[in-house]
Amino acid sequence: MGSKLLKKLFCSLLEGFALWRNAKSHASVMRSLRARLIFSGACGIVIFSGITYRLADVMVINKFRVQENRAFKPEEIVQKADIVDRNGELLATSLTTASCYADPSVIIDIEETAKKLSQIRGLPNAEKIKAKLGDRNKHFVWITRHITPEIQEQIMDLGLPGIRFQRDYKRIYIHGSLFSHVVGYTDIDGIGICGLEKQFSDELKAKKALNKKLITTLDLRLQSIVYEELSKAIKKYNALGGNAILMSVDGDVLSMVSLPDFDPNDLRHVKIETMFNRNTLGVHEQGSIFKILNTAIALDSGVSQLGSVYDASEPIKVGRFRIKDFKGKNRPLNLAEAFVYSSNIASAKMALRYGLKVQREYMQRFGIFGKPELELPECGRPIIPAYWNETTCMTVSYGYGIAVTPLQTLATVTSIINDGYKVQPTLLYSKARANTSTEQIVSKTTSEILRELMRAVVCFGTGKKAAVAGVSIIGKTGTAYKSRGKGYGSDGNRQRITTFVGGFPKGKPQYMLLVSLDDPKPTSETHGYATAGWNIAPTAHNIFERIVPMLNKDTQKDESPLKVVKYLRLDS
Amino acid sequence: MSAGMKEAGLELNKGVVFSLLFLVVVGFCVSKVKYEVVFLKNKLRTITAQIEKYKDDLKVYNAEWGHLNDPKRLARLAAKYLPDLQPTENRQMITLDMLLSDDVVKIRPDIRKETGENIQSDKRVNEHTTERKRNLNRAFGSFLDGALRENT
Repeated sequence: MGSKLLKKLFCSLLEGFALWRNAKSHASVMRSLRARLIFSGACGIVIFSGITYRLADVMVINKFRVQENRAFKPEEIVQKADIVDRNGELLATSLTTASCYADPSVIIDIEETAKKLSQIRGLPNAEKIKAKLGDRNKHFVWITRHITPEIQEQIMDLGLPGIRFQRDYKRIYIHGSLFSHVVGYTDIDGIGICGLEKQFSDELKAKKALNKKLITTLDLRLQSIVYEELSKAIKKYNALGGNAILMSVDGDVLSMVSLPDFDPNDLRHVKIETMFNRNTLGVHEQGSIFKILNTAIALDSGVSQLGSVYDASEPIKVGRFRIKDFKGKNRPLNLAEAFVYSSNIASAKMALRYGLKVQREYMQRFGIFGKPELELPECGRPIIPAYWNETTCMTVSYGYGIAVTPLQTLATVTSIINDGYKVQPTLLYSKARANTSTEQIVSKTTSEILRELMRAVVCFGTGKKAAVAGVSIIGKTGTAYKSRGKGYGSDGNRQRITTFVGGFPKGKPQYMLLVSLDDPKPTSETHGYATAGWNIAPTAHNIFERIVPMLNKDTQKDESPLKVVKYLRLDS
Repeated sequence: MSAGMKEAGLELNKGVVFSLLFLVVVGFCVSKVKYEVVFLKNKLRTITAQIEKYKDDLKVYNAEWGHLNDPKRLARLAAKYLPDLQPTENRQMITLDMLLSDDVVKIRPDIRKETGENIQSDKRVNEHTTERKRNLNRAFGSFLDGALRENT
């Protein structure tokens, strides 16, 4: 029947065509043909108009209504790149987890859903879940983050509508608290809160997209050694805390430890004071360490030489205060002796001789007045005296009246002993490759003499306990009282910060260390003393002893400070 | 209907049948390709998901490896299983030049301190070093001779 109809249709079309060809004058045939064509065309137009209208209705007219009905798709969480040390050891990485969320708008029975979910171990209680699911207008509320595959399976087995999972990433810090202050940590959403995580939050996301890692200048082995020795020292001397930085003269920060610290993997019970990075935020008076800067200024400005003499027989009276020496020699001292015996009186007179204008100029050149630059958001500004007068000039010469961070101190001292070329500390391995400064803050001669003087401190002075056989360690100790509001406290009630800054080898130093203890107590072993030579110098010795075999290629060169020895009266 | 029209109708029928057949064949090929593509797409999705899973697993293994290499853990294990081994000290490090030099005793004053030997033993150490140097030179010389003989 259908085929007959089809055949009939075709035949009539052909007939009409033949008739048209053969009998064009037959008007009636033409008319009927025209009518049929018009009718077919009209039908086609009507059908396609209907389709076009429906398309327009769906795509344009009722667009927003259609979008509202679509299932909600949460924002994708971006994974961050790994952070590694200079040897490729993993410090921080992101592991894939699942996080459970709910779409309250499609949940049928909120109470039953909350009750069933609360029965699974690790999830919040029913009341909390019910409170989260209460708002029906919401399409996304977190139930719990970073769940194990077991818990995920248990939730899926419940078969609750509106309960879904999202691919999530948990940031893991492989070595716990070892790098806590430097690497920092992220919040639950992977947003950097402090340290490198915060500083390079965007770069870490970009690097992940390129399958790259953030390579730091840190060394896991050295960090571990410094951490261990500093912890032992804090325990031994019953100190409140401590900090240490180990840096190469290129500016690579190999190790940075600040204690007490925290575990970035578990921030539930963290005390806020443990998050304080003493190396970059601990602005305090550095004490006798500043004699390195003072002596460098005196020599470089040409005002003093190694043999220049300063009378340290009596204390200097300044108003109601007196500048005096700790276990002073009570005699005139030359520049070399003033440095090795750490005389405050001689240092003050040295500063008065070259003058406060020269002192300010050199401090500006050293970078003491500016904020130190490091790839960490937590870097403290120095506290500069508002009025720089003669008294300030004297006190600054032996490290009081001006407060800087340990990072800034180490950077300045390293620059001075590095033939005077400025050193910029850095935590990024790639940047370190191009860290060759041409800015010279003191001359090579001054730098060489300072190295000799610092070697003399370790051979004959307050840094004797830092010496390591077979290596020419250079160094300087400093004991500074902690400022407590007005003044430093009464005698017997003062707190100290003891510091050692030094490096090796003397001829061409490669590595520099700064280590500090906060309020170390005297012990029987220290014969009742709590100064730097008794506690921080032995700590530096312990650190050097362990790291020298790893770092020192130029072994067994125990060089004496021959250029300086002749200026020292070692029998007194 | 005229004879010409009948012929035209027959030709038309053949054309229609041929067109219909062609349509069927083409339709079959297109649908086959379509289903093949759908199958391959699903396979690709599965493999991509597997690769992502392996990558995630690798990350976990790397993290575990890093954790196992924690210096504190290694120190604990070393203390437990290698109690006789101690960290290398600087005095134990020496370069090759120093081994062959006569100044080895000067560089290592702690040898004298440790062994408590007198100056006579220093001379013996020096003589031993010189003798050793001579032996080394002799050994190297004979090796060189042997090598030259082999080559000629």
